[in-house]
Amino acid sequence: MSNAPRLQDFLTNTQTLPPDDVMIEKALDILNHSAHGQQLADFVSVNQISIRIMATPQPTTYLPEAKLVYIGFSRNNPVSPARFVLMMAGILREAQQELAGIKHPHLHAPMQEHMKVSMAKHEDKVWYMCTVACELNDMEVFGEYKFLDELKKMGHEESLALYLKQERKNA
Amino acid sequence: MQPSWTRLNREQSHQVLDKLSGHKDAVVFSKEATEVSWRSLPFYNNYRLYRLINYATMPTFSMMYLSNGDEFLSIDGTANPIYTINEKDGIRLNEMNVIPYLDFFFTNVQGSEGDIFLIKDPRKMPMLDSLSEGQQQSVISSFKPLKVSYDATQHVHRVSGTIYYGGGLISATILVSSEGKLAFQEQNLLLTGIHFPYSPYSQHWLEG
Repeated sequence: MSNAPRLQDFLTNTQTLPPDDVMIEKALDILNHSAHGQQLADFVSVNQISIRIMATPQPTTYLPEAKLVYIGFSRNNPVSPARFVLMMAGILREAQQELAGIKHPHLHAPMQEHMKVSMAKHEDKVWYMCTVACELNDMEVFGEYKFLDELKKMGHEESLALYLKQERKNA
Repeated sequence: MQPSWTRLNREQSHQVLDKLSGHKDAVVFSKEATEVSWRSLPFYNNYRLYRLINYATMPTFSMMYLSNGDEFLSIDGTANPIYTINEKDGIRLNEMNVIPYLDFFFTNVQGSEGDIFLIKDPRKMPMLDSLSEGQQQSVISSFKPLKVSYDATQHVHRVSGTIYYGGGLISATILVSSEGKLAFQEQNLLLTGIHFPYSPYSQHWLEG
């Protein structure tokens, strides 16, 4: 079989990324093109939500406070712009839930309460990500971003299928 | 076997969080909902691996740091923090701890094509059962067992074996210098089209 030259580049950080504020601004700009995304972008400016990028081994998002969100990924293997936008949509929706008073139960709350509230919050967040992905995916200008494919790669294939089925039913 | 995590008590945890919050770019952790624990690493004298977990989020959010108790360097997915501590702490590598070092390194450093995974036993490979029966057999039959040797002339450990990277199985020799720096040699692509639904190092979906 052929050689695997990609391994040679394993430790060579050849990817140059735009500054953090440019990535964040651009992602908010893209969100603004979708109705649900625009609602999130407005939420950021009205509530002065601070969005920060952190360096983490795996792609992740984090909401330590209602007005502070983090998006994390490795600089060696940055997430695609489409994934960055969808990660931002998801964590901003979570921030919206928190500011609206829909919070995770206290650590010592009964397991059932955790299941009920946290699952509802997660479902709402994923539904929102599906909506934003579909709205942006329908726009020719974002054709190459392939938002739906990216959502599937993020592990939401089943959720997206359910979402699309429900949307067809409602149409 | 890896050493287990030692959980810090409330006061010790707060001391760590206070130290971390002093950094300009520190990631915010709440004192009420964060557990801090550490475990030793067999190749360092003074530095340990610290793990911070915020239990107030769903799923929980965690970050790792290398620390001597005073200075904290976050694990960021690149080799930089590890190489920095290797130099500061004077990493000690031998034939017994070079594999744990590679495991630690690959768990915390991604390549441009994602995770790299050193396969010790293909039958115990994470998520092997997510592959088709045919692919599982190919993985097992392509596998080359790990071999560790020390090249005294070049002062490097040579680890030959099978690696999962970028959707393929690759046989390669990893050269590990006495400073803990890695280089790859004698690479040969054994198998392609191996894609796992999760990172082999993560219990979560690859998402935010």
